[in-house]
Amino acid sequence: MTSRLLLRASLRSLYQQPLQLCMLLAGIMLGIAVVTAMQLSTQSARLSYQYASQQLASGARYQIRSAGGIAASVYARLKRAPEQWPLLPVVEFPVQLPGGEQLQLTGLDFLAEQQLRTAGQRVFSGGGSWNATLLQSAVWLGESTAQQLGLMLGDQLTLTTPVGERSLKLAGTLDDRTQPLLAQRILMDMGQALALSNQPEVLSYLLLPPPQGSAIARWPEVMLQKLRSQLPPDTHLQPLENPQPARLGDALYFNLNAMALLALLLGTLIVLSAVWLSLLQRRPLFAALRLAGVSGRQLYGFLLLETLVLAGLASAAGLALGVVIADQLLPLLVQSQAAFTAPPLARLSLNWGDIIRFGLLGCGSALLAAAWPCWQLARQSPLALQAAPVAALNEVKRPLVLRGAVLVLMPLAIVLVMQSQLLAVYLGTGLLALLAALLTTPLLQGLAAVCVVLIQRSGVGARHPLLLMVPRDCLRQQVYSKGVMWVLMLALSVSLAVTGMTDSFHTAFQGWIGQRLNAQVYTSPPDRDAPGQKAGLSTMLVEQLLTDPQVKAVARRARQPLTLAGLSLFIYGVDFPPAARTAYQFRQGDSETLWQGFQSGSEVLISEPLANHLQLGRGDYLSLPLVSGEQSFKIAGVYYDYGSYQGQVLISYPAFQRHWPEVPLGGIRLYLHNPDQAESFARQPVLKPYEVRLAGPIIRRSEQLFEQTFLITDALQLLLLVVALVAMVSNLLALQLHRQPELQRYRALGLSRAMRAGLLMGQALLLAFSAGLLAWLLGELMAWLLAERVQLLAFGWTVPWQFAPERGLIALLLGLIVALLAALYPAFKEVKS
Amino acid sequence: MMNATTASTQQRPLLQAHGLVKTYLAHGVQQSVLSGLDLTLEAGEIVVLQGPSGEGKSTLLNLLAGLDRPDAGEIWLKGEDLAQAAEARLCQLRRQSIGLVFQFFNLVPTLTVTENLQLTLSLCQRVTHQAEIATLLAQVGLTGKAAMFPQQLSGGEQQRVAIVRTLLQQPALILADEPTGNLDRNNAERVMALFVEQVRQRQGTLLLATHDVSLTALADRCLRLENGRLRDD
Repeated sequence: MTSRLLLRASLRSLYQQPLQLCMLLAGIMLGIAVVTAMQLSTQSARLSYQYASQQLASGARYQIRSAGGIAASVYARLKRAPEQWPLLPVVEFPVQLPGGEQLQLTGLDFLAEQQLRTAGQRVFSGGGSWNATLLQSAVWLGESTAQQLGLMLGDQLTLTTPVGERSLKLAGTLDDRTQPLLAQRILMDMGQALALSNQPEVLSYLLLPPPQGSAIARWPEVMLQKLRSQLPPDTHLQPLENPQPARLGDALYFNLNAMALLALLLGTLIVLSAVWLSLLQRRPLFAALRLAGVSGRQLYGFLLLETLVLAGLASAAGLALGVVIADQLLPLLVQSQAAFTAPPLARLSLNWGDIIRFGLLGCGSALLAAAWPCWQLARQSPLALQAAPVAALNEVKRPLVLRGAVLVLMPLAIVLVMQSQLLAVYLGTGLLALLAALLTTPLLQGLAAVCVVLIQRSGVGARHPLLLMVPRDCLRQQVYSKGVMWVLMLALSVSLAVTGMTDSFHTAFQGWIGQRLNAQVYTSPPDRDAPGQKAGLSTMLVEQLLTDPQVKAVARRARQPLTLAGLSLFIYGVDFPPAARTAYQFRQGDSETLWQGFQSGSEVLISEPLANHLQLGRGDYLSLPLVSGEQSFKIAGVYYDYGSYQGQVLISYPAFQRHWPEVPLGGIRLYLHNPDQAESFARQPVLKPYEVRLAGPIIRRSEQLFEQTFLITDALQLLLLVVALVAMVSNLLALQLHRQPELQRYRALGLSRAMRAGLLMGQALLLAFSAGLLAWLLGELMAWLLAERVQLLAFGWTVPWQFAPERGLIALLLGLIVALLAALYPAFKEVKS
Repeated sequence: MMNATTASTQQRPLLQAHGLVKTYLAHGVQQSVLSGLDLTLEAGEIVVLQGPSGEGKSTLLNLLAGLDRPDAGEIWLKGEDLAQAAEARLCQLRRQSIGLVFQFFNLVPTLTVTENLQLTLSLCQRVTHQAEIATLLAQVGLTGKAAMFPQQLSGGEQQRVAIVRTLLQQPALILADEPTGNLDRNNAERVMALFVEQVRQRQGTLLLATHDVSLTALADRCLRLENGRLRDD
């Protein structure tokens, strides 16, 4: 009976103030929507990667790849080896539909292995049977693609293949509901696919499934080493969990996950702010209930129940909004993904498990956010509840609590962010955000006090007392507005952190691409990646090019695979003419002096990921396995590199030639006196027999791909700011509603509408300024953590962070604009009242 | 004025307060409100408490209701020291033994008249039939108002609902803090006459803090609060 009456009393209170109810629901809804959108879009995009690497690989753990494909003879030889490697051949190439749409044709050998036949049966649940793949010119299509094209089983399908137009028969459809990646694919028998590929003797890659009958389903390292030894040069065995093209994609997902965690924190803060404000506004009701005999425990239980009911409703709405936002974000995400992989998949993946998970997340975070403020309210005596919240809160010794919290949290956060586990770094970042939130109130108090002193000293206060009212009112209302300050501060700092991280990535990427492609023209042997290609460039060509008046310098390059401490990597023999040296960015080592040691051949350069993996630095010695035995080389420097997780070693070309004389010259970099003439130079007859690449177009294309990668972060940044804006509007509106009697008194005193509106806007600006200042500090700190610590722990490399004052100023300005926009409607309402 | 204290000398007093001290910190200065106050209330007694504004009448009532705690002293209600009781026990006592009537009525604004009464009844776990509620409401002239919300009633009507709520609770002690402070004279006289009549019918004990001198006529005893202590008026 009591609970029923309590619920009725509270719900009527909310119903009587629909704006207040809307704001509470909107706060929770926005928080959940942000989290849902971030998690869902990231999760959906990640799923498509998983489908790409796992479903089509039918659980294969390793992949054998070579840049130009795998010769069929290599596959035959490996199958006949004593180990009888259970390899699965795959051929893949793009084909075009009559409408111009491009699909990926995948040829699989369904007779090859039982394992793949089982996988095939699992995939082919859409229609037909897998035996039909053996029929001449029979293909399988994703069910949705078949529907789009209006094709039925047995219909003919015309495709443009590398050998021309071919008419193929639709033998069956694929279940692309549970296997979304198949929606973009055409499957057919291996033999027939090879015939259509125009390279009947070249396979795209080989898959190595987990060993059958193995309890741990993992190939032992000894066996993998044996397999590696049987592979031709330039052919690599790679773990599928870490596909090479997905490196930048992984970094992107990583950033998104970090952002999703911050969004979760932001969402919880929005919920906290909404619940806090709603509790403050209903204090008279709770005071009446407590005086009527409702105990603190009863009130607490009831408030949590109420939060749960409202959070359930708001979570449902937030989930729906989140799905809509994620649906809009996903195309951007896969557009970024398309830079690295085959045709992207733009389908949102949402199931009942997700709905329950996000629902629980919504209710859980709302309960978590509400637990403390509800407890604070419920434990207050009825008399304290009757008093103004400011007076009630002043009773608590806040500065002492604050100092204690800062003293405990600060060292803890520093210790955590310096740990070598990612989780600890994330926790430390969260604690830093909490610290910044705790400092919002003292900062606002300080700023307001400074404003008051400045206004008084300047004498303006006497003529315009309204100016004094702005900071003083801001202080008096801080208990209501601190929630929104937290939200704005965190949204701005996340935005700043992302900008800082993107800037750092941008600088690092430009430096790296400039380092990788520092020459103007690149020459290599024709079909250098073709299977069995052993021939290199001739030294005659180098001499010939050196005599060309247009050429400033020529640099040679060759490479040899190495295994160092279990890491598969390459050592490169390279020439470094002075023109090439300036492009290299070093984490360790003096770029002025290290070249001398490098040129001598006794010192090497190593990339940052390798230095981190092996815990080596400048001046240490690296032991390399040479034909003549192990030999130690002094490390002259550690350079930034984002091209491989394992890292790489650079040695001067003459030294490389001494140690690996059998390795042919793999490429030449040409530095021209006039870089603008690169295109005409590349058409010279002397270069005709070789493969020639120009750096300019590659750099431009790479930069384009890079920009695409960060489209998603820009969109998410905007989303966070919009959420902060809405949260702030709702908070300021609620504040204005709450302050109606006070504003009426001001009106009675003679304050004009414009003055009252100005008061509201001035307060919003002061709040935003305080939040912006803290956001500047926290944002830069988070950017540093993401660029230097998180990247190091996740990928082995760091992205140099650089402080840019304009970034913070822009964030501060953005905060002020958001605050002004947010104050516009409440001010308008006040003017109209 | 009848002296009820003499009539019940053999009985233990309903409420005894000894040496109550209460100070407040205002703008950094300690201000003493009650300084060693003593008070005894016998069961069935109606006492009026008077004194200038700011002398501590509300503070004393808050202490006696267990809404606030004294800095020193004891408050014994039915053999239990309120100054030492836990918050949960105080809450229980307020539900069962102490009824409160306030100047601003303190009705739950989002519950109807009947629901406000039902809330109190459910909290003190008292089963009362709808008919009894209706009778009580009729006795105080609120027939036809049962389904209305507090804000739909006049001040006098709201205070009558608050009185009915307290009476339904059947507390041993009723504490009323300026119950007529928000009513006009006519309304105030009618409401208080009704209130005192109902308390007497139920042999309840009432401590009434008021500025209204006319209310002293309804009391068995008058006390005056001055300089933090009580004296008979």
